[in-house]
Amino acid sequence: MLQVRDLQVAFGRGPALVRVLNGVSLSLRSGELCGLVGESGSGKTVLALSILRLLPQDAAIRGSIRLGGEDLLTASAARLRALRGAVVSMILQDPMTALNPLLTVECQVGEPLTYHCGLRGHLRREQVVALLEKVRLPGARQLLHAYPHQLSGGTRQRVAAAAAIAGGARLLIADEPTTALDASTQADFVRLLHRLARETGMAVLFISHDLHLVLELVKRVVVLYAGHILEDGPAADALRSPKHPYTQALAACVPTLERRGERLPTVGGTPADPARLLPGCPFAPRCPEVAPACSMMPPLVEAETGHSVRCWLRLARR
Amino acid sequence: MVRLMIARAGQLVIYLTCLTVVVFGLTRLSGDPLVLLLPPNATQQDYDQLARRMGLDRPLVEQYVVFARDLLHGDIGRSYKWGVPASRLLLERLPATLELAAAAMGIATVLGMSAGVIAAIRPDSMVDAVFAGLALVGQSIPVFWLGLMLILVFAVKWPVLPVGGRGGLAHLVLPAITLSWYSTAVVSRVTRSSMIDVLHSDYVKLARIKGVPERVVVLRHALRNALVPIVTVSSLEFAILLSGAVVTETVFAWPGVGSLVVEAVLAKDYPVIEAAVLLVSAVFFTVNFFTDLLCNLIDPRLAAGRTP
Repeated sequence: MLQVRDLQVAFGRGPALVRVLNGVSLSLRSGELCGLVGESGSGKTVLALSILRLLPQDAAIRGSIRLGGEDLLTASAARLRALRGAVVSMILQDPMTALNPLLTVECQVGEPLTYHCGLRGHLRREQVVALLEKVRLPGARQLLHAYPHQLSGGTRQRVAAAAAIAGGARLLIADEPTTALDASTQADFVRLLHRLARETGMAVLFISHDLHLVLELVKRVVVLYAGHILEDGPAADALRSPKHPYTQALAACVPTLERRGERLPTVGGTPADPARLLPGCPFAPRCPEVAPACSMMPPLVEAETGHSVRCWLRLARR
Repeated sequence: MVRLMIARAGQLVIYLTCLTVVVFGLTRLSGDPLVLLLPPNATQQDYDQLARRMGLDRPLVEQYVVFARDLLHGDIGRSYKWGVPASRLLLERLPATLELAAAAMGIATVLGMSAGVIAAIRPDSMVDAVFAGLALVGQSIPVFWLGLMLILVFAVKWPVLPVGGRGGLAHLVLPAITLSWYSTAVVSRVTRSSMIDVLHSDYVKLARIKGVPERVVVLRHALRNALVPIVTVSSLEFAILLSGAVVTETVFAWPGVGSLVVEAVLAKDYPVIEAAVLLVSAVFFTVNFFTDLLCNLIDPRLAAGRTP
């Protein structure tokens, strides 16, 4: 249902030009649960906002984004508004800032119902209660008139999720929705997303820097680094048999019981700065297996069925 | 809400007590009213006699006690110059000032907020630059010059509006525009910066993600959140306008509190000055109080006693 082709996004002009996405291609089938993993600054959020066409006005976008066959880069503002919330929606990272402090829960969850479904008054209220129950909030009816400052972080994120799915979106982008939550609330929220996806049949693009967390939800993982997709394959492989050295490094960072007491490995070096990218593989400066060929950009090649990787070494070994 | 009112009432008592001391002291420092009241050929005997009759020969502390006691009885004293109660003089002038201040504030909020919102929607655009320029001009033009130019153009060259004085709506137009000029600029700048902050917030992003129409995003989601600083600054401006637009009232011969204060200061008319200062502080206090109430209504977090 979603096809992103060779998406390039840059900010600024001339020498201050920063390329954040450098030809990202990504397809999602309806109902598919896909994880998007990457460090800070890898372009995860920019990709999400590109799909919603909510990037700042100074962003230069090239390539194509099609949603259900419709080209989003040429769609009119009115058409985009009709799609947002109704076909594609998003949960933001920080529940403390994502809800409007001056509007009640009923108003904020009910807005998509008003503008996409034309519901008002009593009908809308019942629908809001149903949505709050859908995100497993106890005492939904008492929450209707609550303001965000009266709610806990976990509750707020559930309200934000209810608002995001209220318009019946077929694709939900969850941009690090659990990063600001404490550990036990995190697990609950991931389970909730899983259940919502199953109940509604919507596709979910789950964005996180936490590979371990992503694997609890999704069947497929896309690894983004400095605006390039480095690996795209089944979630089961990402931990057991990662192909790209970067994914291997990420997988090694996941704490396990067998290695208890050992020092937790980290990915060496510092994340790539999109403002100062050298030609060639963006991970080369930090790669333990770097080879002379890495000064040229490797292509993203399907190494096995449904598993692509962007690395010269893996291509040579094939 | 009730707690807020009780706290405010307590503050008011302390504040007014301090204020009377300051007002009383400062007016006494401003010079001798007797010299101005007496004819040039008056003798020392005339002077002493008048001083005794007005109680000005007593020690300052005693004068203050008398002043405070009369004040508690609602009597602020008679004007030295006009011989009528100072409070009556002020209350006679108050409607004119209220009318002018309300008109000017109406212009300032409507124009200032519209300009600020439009500029914030497209920051750094042509429209924004034009409004920024106008605001700069608005804040730097001297009020008396603007008033005189408006009179010159609209009352002298093309006599469509009256030169001055108070009457119908036509009389209000030029002084209200003159008086609102500066406040419009202030309100538009505050609205712009407050709106730009809010438009970058996550909850505005979420509103757009939900597919809320842009008009509703701007007015319901953004403007309401931007309102608290706007209301605070606007009401401060309103209090300043209410306490007498001295220059504007003088230029347009507007019979308000401002022009009365000028006359009273020139005549060293102690009771009138004291009454005017007390009135101004009461105005500030009242406006501040209603501002607090209004902000509490806008932001439920303030009503809950939290900082947003």
